Amino acid sequence: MEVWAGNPGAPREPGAKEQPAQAGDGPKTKTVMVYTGTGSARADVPVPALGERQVYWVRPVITDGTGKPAWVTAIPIAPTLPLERKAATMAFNPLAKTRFAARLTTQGGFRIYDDEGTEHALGLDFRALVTQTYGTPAKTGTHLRLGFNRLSLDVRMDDKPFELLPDVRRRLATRRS
Amino acid sequence: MTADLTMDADGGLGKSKADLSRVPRNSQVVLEDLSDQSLTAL
Repeated sequence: MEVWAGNPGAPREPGAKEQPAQAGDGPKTKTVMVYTGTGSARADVPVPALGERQVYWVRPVITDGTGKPAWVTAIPIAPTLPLERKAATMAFNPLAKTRFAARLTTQGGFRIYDDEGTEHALGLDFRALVTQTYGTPAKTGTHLRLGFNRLSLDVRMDDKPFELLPDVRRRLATRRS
Repeated sequence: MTADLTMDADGGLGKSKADLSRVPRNSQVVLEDLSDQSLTAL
């Protein structure tokens, strides 16, 4: 495998001989890839440093069973940003003393039977406005205080609104904090 | 009604405990079940 740095351009013609360098081409790096008859070959190919606006040129050179080499079409490969793997710690890190608000809804669905054995669908949807206040994060965890406000409970029987007993509704509405 | 929770270092929910001490006594029975349901949902 031949690799060199050069100016961008159209792919270069194949040939039975090594092709001469063109203007702007750097020295070639030649890497031998051992082919074992499995249909593919792999190798680590060192690449040269690129000048400004240069690209990598790659040209495989294949030697057939008779020992005759062939220079395959050379193609330019524009450089991409190299990736560098770095370990990173992902941790939950809320802002201390910060208060967030959220709407919380829990939906409950039940099938119940009356005295005559008739099935009914009972729905219980609980809604609340929740304020969340985070404490200072520590190694063992972070304290979080939730405050529940504006509580409501919607009851449906067979997809029809079902009136809560006045006493229950009044108790839900009672709030001191 | 309030609840105190502990978030683990990885953001998961650790301990949780509802606080109904400031809820009128006759409302605590109703809200206790709703509080348990809410914390379970969280």
